[in-house]
Amino acid sequence: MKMGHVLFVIILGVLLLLSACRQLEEPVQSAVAVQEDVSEESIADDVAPEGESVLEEVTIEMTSSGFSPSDVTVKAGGTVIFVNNDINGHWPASAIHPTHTVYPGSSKDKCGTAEQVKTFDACGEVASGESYSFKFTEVGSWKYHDHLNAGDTGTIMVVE
Amino acid sequence: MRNSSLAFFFLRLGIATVFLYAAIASFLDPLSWVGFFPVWLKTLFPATILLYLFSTYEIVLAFWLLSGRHALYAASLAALTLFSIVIFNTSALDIVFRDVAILFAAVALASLTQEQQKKGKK
Repeated sequence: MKMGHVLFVIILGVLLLLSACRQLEEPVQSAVAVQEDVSEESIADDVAPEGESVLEEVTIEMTSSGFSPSDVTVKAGGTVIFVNNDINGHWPASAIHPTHTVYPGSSKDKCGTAEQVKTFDACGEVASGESYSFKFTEVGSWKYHDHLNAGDTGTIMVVE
Repeated sequence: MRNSSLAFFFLRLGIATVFLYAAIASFLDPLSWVGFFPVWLKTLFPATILLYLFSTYEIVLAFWLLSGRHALYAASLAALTLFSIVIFNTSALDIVFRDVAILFAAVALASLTQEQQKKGKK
């Protein structure tokens, strides 16, 4: 094997490793009024920590930098509102791109049908200044993304 | 047909199929593909124009790979394209990790072609 080949593999490996580390190091921001420290135990059990309140309504801002906060916690039956504060359009939807099928019952194929309301999918561009909201009934940790910027992602933790 | 010739053919066919599928799917469902362009690029050029240009490039590259002519250059260009896609979408690695495999298939094709060309000259 030539030295050039080895170097190529090493460079690619390092780049991928760096990008993976960068994603891991990104601060996990809880919703503004949600508890400050969500213990790992409570995350694992999908249950809100004792004595601390979890919001029934959380707002996520969409900008050119992505979702802010990207990771939020909301009570089961609560609503997450995605507000577009960017000049460009955004399209929040359940992971995984492009099918949007991770959240139970969600699918991009349901857009434009009677089942669209049950789908965690804006089903179209949310224009600047507009918003999209979805009521989360399923307890769990649900990843989401911007369909128009596949690299912008986040997680919505739904707890009892 | 010798095994090595078959291997060359399958490598070219496999990589070309990926580019062809992506190009055709982009024309059919642009919004599902436009998200893979980096944001800074979309601020410089309209996203739909970028997508159509890139899809056309992918089709040309696919047919170039299938033709087998100057396969070293076609495979190198394919590898470079896939490398760019992976690097610009590292935050969507859950989706583009498959491209890493195709990237190395393109590198393998380029490497094998180069070796074959050297043998041919001897």
